[in-house]
Amino acid sequence: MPTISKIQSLPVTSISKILGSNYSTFDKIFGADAPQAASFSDSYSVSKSITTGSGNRVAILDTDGSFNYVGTDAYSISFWVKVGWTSSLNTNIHLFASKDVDGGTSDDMIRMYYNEANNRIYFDFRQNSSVKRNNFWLFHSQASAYVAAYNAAGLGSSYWSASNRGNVGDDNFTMITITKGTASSTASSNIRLYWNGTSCGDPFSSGGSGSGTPVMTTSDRRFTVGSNVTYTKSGDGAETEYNDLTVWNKKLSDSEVLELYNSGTRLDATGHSAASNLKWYYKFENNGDDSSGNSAPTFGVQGDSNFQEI
Amino acid sequence: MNYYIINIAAFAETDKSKIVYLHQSIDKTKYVIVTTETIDVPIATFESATDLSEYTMRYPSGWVGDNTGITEEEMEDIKYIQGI
Repeated sequence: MPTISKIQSLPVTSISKILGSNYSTFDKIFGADAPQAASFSDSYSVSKSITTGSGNRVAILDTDGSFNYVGTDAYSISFWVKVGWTSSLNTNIHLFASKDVDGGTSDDMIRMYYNEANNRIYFDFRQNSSVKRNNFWLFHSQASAYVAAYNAAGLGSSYWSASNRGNVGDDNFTMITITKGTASSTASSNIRLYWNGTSCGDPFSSGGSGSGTPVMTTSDRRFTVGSNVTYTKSGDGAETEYNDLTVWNKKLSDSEVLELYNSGTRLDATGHSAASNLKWYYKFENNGDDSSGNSAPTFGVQGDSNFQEI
Repeated sequence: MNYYIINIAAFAETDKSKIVYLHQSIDKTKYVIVTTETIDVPIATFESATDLSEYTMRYPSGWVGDNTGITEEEMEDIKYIQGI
């Protein structure tokens, strides 16, 4: 193992983490200023209005194929959410959703929603309205098949709502992550849901549900946060806040999700050990700009939706 | 497939193994139910998922909290699980 023989006068107060550095060529450092790591501010989130319609959307209308996953692509999508809806919502709040920009409402769809009436999170992807796969996790049962999700969420026997947020990280935000492998399937072997850094275990159906095997196209997509693809199903009661959305072009491992959770404190994802697989990174720091370095499209935040100080 | 709105008493008599989709009203007094069973005394009967969905969208306040109604795809995708 190569070692550093000497470091002198190196200010390190702004360095939070060094991963995978190779010191083999270092012999001596005298009086060097540490390179200033990109500052990570975390003062804002994006708040999706409960008023709906395109005029109140939080969305990307992609024009350059930036998010164009097909059925056999591996990917992971992670975000932090501070729930605003009530326990009498009795419908499906969409956490994110995407579809072909120009196609029908189910064409090339990838989405996640919370089915409040049954206390389940669904993950769903589709080629169209008839070729689709989905699966879900439920959170209120301690039966052996569901206890992993029960423990991960910490909701107890009640529904997820603003008055029962379950296990949370900083500022009452929960990190939700879906990871998908290369099969065009929602089988338990291919997808994983994480609540904060903890796996929710196997989804309900070991083989997944739906019909057919979605192929999907690489067409440009509409990607919404906090609503479905037609800009409804955003909840009730109070606005739900979203923060630090990341999209990765791999199926993140358990340890990589745990690293991203960072014990509940949002981190700069560009410093994550899988940062080379980071495709989208939206911090929502009072703007909808991408911070992945890939020049991904900017989120439009319209109408009653807004950036909000945490 | 059969599409109904039924009350609590009728629900108690249903064959749970034949239920495909179930959604309770916000006031907990009624159910939207999609089932292969024929129910004799429903509050309302609908010819199709489309008709039932349109009904809940005309009168959403009794069924959902976001004023949207129940979509057809929800009836397809949100599977009823007995006892959970």
